[in-house]
Amino acid sequence: MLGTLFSCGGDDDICESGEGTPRMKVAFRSFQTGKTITLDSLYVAVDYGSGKVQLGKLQKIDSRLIPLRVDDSPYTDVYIRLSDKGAESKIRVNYTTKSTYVSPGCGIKKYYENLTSALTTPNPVQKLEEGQNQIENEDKTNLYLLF
Amino acid sequence: MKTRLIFTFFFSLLGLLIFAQDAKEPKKEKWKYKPNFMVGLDALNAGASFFSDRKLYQGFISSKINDNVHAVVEAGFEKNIYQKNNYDAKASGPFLKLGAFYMLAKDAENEFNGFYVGGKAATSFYTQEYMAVPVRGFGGSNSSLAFPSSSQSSYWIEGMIGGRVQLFDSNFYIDVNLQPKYLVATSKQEDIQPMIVPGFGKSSSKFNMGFAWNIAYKF
Repeated sequence: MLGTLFSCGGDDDICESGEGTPRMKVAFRSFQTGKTITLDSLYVAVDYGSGKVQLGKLQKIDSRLIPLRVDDSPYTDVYIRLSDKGAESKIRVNYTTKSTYVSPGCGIKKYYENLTSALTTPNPVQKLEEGQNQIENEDKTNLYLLF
Repeated sequence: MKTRLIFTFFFSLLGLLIFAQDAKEPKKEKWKYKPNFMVGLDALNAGASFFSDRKLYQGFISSKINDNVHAVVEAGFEKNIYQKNNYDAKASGPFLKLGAFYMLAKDAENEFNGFYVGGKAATSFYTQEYMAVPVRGFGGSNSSLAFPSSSQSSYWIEGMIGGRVQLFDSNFYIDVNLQPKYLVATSKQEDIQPMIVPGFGKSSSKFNMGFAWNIAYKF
């Protein structure tokens, strides 16, 4: 009888933050001097396979984490703007992925390897510099944007 | 879901009624000790299978060993699906439980009436298929991976808290028990924690609570 009261399930849908798929960390450098710079504002949009998704504006930052696609696509298109109506750079990030099971709540986590990025629209981003070419956590910078 | 709840509720009430009647009607019949068997089938879960994705059929055979100790063997079959939180999985297979229980309190006139506690070791050998295991991403970019059908096994221990009561003067009994379960070990496919295990239920956490509402016949 009481069993009916206890028969509801456990917390199998909670995924603690930090256990999901790691995001790509980008940092910023000056095109002239090569030094690390802080951006007043940065707008990022990503195409997750069904058109651009605006990830919004962040201000006064020296790095930013950008989630990449977790489907079977071998690349993610990332769009960078310095102001809302300003010019937009398109960056195609190519990679291979590896999958690892994490937990019932988190399901499967993807890792990215062999990162290579191509700048297809060089304004406002002038140039790219590769960082750590695999994404296993969110500590190391994977890509430098030169403005 | 609602019909299932109502069905469960109906059985709960029925159980209460029968327990209540038992208190009022003193038993006249006396039981001699002899080699004995009681065979029961879980009517509640079998009935609930009509209204639910969880098809659970289970039964038991128990035998009184000495004054207060009964040995019990439980066997069953469960077929279940798990479609939640971007998972899509199914599992089905038989399970077997062996154990014993101790009569804590029993009717002076019928030693098979009473309340008991006990424990069982259980195992299930089953087939599972994970059509989708979610890959957590951002910005609506969730995807999933599929894994082929495979055979797995799980092992758990479960407690037994319940009561047994004779139906009037017949050889029929109603046996109701709760089964707190702890998953000790399970084989895994690609390290994936099984979300459902036949006989155990939802297995994303190691603890679970089961129940049985048996109609039993004493030979």
